[in-house]
Amino acid sequence: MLEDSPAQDASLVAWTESAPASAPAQLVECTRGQSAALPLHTAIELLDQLTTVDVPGAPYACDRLLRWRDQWLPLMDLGVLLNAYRTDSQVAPRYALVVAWQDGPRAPLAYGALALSSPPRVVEALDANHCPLPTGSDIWPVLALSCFEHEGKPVPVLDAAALFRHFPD
Amino acid sequence: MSTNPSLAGGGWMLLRAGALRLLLPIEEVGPAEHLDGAPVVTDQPGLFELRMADADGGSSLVAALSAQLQPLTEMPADRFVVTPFPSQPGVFLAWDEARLLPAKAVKLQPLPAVMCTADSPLTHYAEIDGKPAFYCNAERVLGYAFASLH
Repeated sequence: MLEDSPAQDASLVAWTESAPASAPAQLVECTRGQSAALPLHTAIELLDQLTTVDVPGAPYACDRLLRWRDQWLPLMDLGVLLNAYRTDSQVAPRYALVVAWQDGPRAPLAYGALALSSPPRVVEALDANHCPLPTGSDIWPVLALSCFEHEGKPVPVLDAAALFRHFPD
Repeated sequence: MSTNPSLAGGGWMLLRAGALRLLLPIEEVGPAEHLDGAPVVTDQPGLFELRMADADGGSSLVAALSAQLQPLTEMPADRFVVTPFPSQPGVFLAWDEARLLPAKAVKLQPLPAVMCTADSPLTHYAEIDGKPAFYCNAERVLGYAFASLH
């Protein structure tokens, strides 16, 4: 079982204390039946024409660079990350959602991208719908700032910085 | 964040094998040679015997890498150039292209941290002709590529 870091605990407190009673979030599908959300301000751009390059030896969940503007971004596949494996029959992602974060106060924006099979949609994350993280994966406590229930299912709110941090060796 | 590798010598060798593009310091790659004739299959899948027209008439081993840095069990027809490696005498890799680049033509950037693990052979890339080419040192890339072979 992965352990929560103190930094993540602090992020969780900050998120829960400063968040309004509801906030819009981008809902993304990770796997069939499991979605996650991103705070609206972290989602920068949705791409539907993807230029990617394989990076040999990189972790399966993030083994491609995506061309975006004048940069190459790490392209994260949340489905592979959650399942901890990739099958040969995995369908190439149709979309990529560019996300931004700061690694610290006044740090420059850093960017990454999420591989998606369907476009994200904006939903309202209500404080009243706060719920425990799903138990289906050990990775949620590491990646999630919070969790809310949407359409009867728990939806973790992702910490973009944690998502693109080092994989544990 | 890892620091950029520095060059001991004067430039880089860009080696292409299909979609795979690697950048190695020139001093870690021996002189490229044209591959004359088809390499001979050996008992070890992924390794081929390369008959060299050298003075003692000896043979060497050659491999062709996939886009995932793994030895291919068949030698693609378009691998027409081979390079030796001073750190691994007797072993060659076959490429579609081997090109010398001056040091100033390459601006290395670290790969995003999330893409690097202790086992991953690649740490940096540079954009060459609009696409990333990955920096690696010869010893590490050979070790990674041949780890699956006996």
